[in-house]
Amino acid sequence: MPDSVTRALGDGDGEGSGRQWKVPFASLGRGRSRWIVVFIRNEMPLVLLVVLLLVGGLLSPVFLTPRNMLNILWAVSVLGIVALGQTMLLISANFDMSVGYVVGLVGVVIILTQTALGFGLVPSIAAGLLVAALFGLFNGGLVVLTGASPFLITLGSGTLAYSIALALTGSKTLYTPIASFTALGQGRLVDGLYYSTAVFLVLALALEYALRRTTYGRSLFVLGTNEVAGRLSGLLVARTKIMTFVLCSLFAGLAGLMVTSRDGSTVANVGVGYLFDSIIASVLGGTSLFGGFGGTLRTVVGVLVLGVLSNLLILMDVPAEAQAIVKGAVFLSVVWADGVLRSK
Amino acid sequence: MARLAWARSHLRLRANVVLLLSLLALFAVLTGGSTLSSENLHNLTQQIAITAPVVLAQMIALLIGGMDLSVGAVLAMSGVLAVGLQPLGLWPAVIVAVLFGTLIGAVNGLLVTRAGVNAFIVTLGTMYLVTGALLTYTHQQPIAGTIPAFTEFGGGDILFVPTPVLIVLVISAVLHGFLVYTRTGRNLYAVGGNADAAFVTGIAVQNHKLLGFIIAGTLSGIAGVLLASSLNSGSVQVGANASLTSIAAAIIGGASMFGGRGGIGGALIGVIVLGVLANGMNAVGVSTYYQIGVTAVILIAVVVLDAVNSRVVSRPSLSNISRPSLRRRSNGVLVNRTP
Amino acid sequence: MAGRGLNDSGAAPAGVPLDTLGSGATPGGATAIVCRLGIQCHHSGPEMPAPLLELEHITKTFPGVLALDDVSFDLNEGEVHALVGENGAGKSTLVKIVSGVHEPDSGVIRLLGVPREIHNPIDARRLGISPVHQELALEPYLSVAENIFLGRQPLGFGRAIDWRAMRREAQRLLDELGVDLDPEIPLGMASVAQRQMVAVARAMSAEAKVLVFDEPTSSLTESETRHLFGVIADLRHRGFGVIYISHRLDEVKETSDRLTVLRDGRQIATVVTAETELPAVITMMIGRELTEMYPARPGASEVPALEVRGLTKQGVLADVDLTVRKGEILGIAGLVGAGQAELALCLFGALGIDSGTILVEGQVAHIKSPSDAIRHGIALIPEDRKEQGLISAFSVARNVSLASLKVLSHLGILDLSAERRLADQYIDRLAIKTPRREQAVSALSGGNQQRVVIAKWLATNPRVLVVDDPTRGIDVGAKASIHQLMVDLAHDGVAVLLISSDLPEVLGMSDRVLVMHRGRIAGELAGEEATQAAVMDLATGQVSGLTEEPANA
Repeated sequence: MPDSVTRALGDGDGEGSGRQWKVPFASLGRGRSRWIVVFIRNEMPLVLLVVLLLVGGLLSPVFLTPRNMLNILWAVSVLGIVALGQTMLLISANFDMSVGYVVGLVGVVIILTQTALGFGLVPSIAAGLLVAALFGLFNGGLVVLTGASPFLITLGSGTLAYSIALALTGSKTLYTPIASFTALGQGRLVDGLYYSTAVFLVLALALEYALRRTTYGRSLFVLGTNEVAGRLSGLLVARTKIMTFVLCSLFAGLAGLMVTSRDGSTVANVGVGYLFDSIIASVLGGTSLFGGFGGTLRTVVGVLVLGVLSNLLILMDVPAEAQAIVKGAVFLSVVWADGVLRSK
Repeated sequence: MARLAWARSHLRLRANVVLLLSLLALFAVLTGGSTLSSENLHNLTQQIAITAPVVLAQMIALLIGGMDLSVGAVLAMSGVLAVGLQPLGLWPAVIVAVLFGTLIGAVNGLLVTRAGVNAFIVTLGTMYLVTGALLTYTHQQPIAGTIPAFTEFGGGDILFVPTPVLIVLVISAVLHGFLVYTRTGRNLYAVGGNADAAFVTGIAVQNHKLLGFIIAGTLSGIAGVLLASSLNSGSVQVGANASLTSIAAAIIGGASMFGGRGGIGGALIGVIVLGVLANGMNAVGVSTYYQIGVTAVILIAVVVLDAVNSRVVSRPSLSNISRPSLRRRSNGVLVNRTP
Repeated sequence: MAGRGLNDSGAAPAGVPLDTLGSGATPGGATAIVCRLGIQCHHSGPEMPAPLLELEHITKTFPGVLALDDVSFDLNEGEVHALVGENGAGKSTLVKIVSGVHEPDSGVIRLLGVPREIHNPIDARRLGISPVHQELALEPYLSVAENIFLGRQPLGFGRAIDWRAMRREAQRLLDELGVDLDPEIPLGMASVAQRQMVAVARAMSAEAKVLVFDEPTSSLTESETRHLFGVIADLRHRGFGVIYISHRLDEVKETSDRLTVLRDGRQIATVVTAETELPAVITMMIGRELTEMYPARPGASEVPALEVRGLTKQGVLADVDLTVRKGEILGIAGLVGAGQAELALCLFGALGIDSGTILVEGQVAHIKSPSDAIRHGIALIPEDRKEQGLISAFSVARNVSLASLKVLSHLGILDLSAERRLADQYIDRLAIKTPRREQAVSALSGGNQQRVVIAKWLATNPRVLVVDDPTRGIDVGAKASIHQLMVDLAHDGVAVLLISSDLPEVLGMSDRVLVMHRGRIAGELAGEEATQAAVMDLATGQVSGLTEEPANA
């Protein structure tokens, strides 16, 4: 019988609660023999990553080289930044479908302000990020004020961003006039470690810290688990939600900056693939689509899994289009598992 | 209570008709009457008929409390299959194409009902999957049709009326009959309006939701065949915006994010309104870029209005905290919060 | 309790025939009862029908609570059998078992003499048991007629739904019930009373046999209530069996043929209503001397901690004035739906008010959100502790710190060790039974969960503590300790606003009692005059002088 029916028909009389959520590592210490099974189940993403790496190693001798690993890391860094923002939103039980288009729009704004308005490097970047923040404010504000579905609001705002980007670029590629711009996206901190990778990892760590150790992070988990109880405990729900939408859009904007500076150019639809990938990366890492569970370090793992998977598929000579099928299938299975395991 | 919502939905119908007439008038004026020419009207009705099944599909998905983002991808893939499989014969190709939609609908429905996952996420996933399959199958090249008779579905005429219009009218009549005159059809409304009420009444909620998704998928398949037929080719470009516009059209036509509302007639009006708008914008020379923007803004406006509208009813909401008689009810397909 | 000398087991004085049906009523026995009650028998003669519904030796436990202990209940055709008892006595559990929401641990359910299994609400409905009170079973967007015939719409030509016939039939049923309602309008547009009637119409058309009403009059006006009673009498006449649950004993007296008193999960007595006096019923419901159960209260100071002037919320509360002093326990009593829960939420900023002023320790407080309220030192322990008071998936520690995050953090960064220490401190102080502070609260018993909620709020050092039904669904031992806790808090100078539907609790714990009726304060009782009867009088609006319009009519 649906949980909802039992709940709706009233509690009273002290019966036990219906839903049981999985608390990570909660069952540790309850019997050593089950330890390994529980660990695998809870940390499936890591296990998956290890398995994929092993498969790759078997398929090709160059797979497990540091060079290749760093390449994979670099390839997924931009996506990773987008995914980090999406993860934060997912934990609070929201979604942002506009990230892909915001990536493109921000890139367009950056270059356009450089070419058409003569902005310097920093002002143009600031303009781009400001636009991203505005979109986040728009999304969050509407969701909080109207109670409408974040899915649809962000779907609409994303398409709007796309429309603006298309109109501004006329479907053409825009090139940056500032030569030093590409230093950011193409530059390396150390040999093999690109700036974008460093930014990605640093941000992942910073956000993970925020999630575990700050009141903001705690609020996100509360929002994603039981918003009402949170509100009745004095949490500033609306403010936290809007902040997180802004954060997610800003990260999308940052990714737009990264990818534009990497290519030295931009097109309106450069970020289209990031939407789906950001969600799948978060889910692969173990963040729940139902909210209340997840983490940015987990998303790093998820993003790596995606990267390794792509790399593997290329190794196996699977054409690019077919990769989408694989990704889609993986996504659906993970989503199915998430649904079955986390919510009845 | 629902007083305002009900009044509003009746007003909505009248408002839509007024809106429609205003748009027609506006574009007629802006183009010096050319939008009212028989040629344009022919094309307009043809276009509307071709996009209608997708909107009907979305309306049904919304009706049962879900949503279908995969309609565009299914549309494209079905079209490609209808053209690409023509070496096997006209009818086998068409039937397989439509059944593909049915298949995806079933996948969507099963994932939503058996795994309890959000319809958005599931259909997002199937959209991605189908798009991938589409790209693989076509290698990003459009496929040309080989059987001339194929163009009859979407491009032909019967007594000056575009064939798709007649096809869609027949489909609409059948669906309307189903939704209004059969118990199963009414159960779809019950399931979407208050899944728990349907449950305790003995209605098999999950099966009905599955049915809803299957119907939606099938309709998307039919839309794909019609579109491919009108172009006489299967292309990957079509359908990109279909999810967005179909949701907007369906909600304009009376469906709601929260389920349990809507009807065939309303959905048709919704698709006509958007169709007239698109046709008019083309005639006036508005660039496609802005057209996309306009549709996006319309979607946001419509979704916001729907949300505000639905708050008036004592809908299950997390803010109904105190009254014992207003316990939370979950819709089943959507998570407890609207995602 | 004035008057009667009653012993501890709550047995009524001699002279009232008691039907103790705990001993497996046989059809023969049932026959005897039916006739003894003097109810109009539909089948006179040697062939007496089995009771419509029989529940025998029903026992039901939930984790930590024995909800029903060997309870038996039966219902005959053409009878209204009322269920009374305080909150937590087991009435709703019994009804949930009848309607298929829960399954009993042991016991037999029989319909018309045939043992039946009821695993879920669908089974119950199929067997003809129709709970009328559930909002749950209504489709707000479908028409009245369709709601009546949901899933059973009449079919006409070619197996298509015959809308005209449905409308006609619906209209006929509504006319029979005396309801002025257009069958075409969406149900969401109908009033609560009308929706109840729609549910009754549905039961009638579905050929239900047993109708269950749970607190049906809590949102009804006088005239709607009268109408409902007329309908129930009519249902009786037609041979339906009606189970009627209500706190309003006067209504129970008026409408029921028999009534069963439950207390602490046990069946105390089943009596013929006409032959029983209300005070006897009340005593059976409570069954214990007041003074023994509740800790002695310290005196309250004269300093007001919380003052409320003219609090009004359209349709919910009207012109509420109250004052709570430091160290005082102010009780708020009233029938379900009189506005107490809403009052609590308004004071806490969780519900918006239309007008009125709130003063905390003499200062005007603008409370627009719970965080405002917390800042002013107001804390609320909500009615629904599991969904509103706690986050079930979170650990004890995280729940305890939930309202104190700002205090436990420096520049937004949480001091996790301070959080742990806080949790330990309260686990100790409140004797919260948990294996570890990381234990998810969903695994704790009701009493311990409530302690966690209390801990959360104590950690904010509140000046005013509003508690709504704090001991609901908690076993007796835990109840006592929570009461002691509240008294200790008052002793420390906290002003406590105690809202409870458990009359003895309110009377036993409070220095003064305010009684609410339909959104207004109907009266204040203190000392000697604070009796159950006095409270009930005010709560049901029977005291003369209440001439104003109710707020939530």
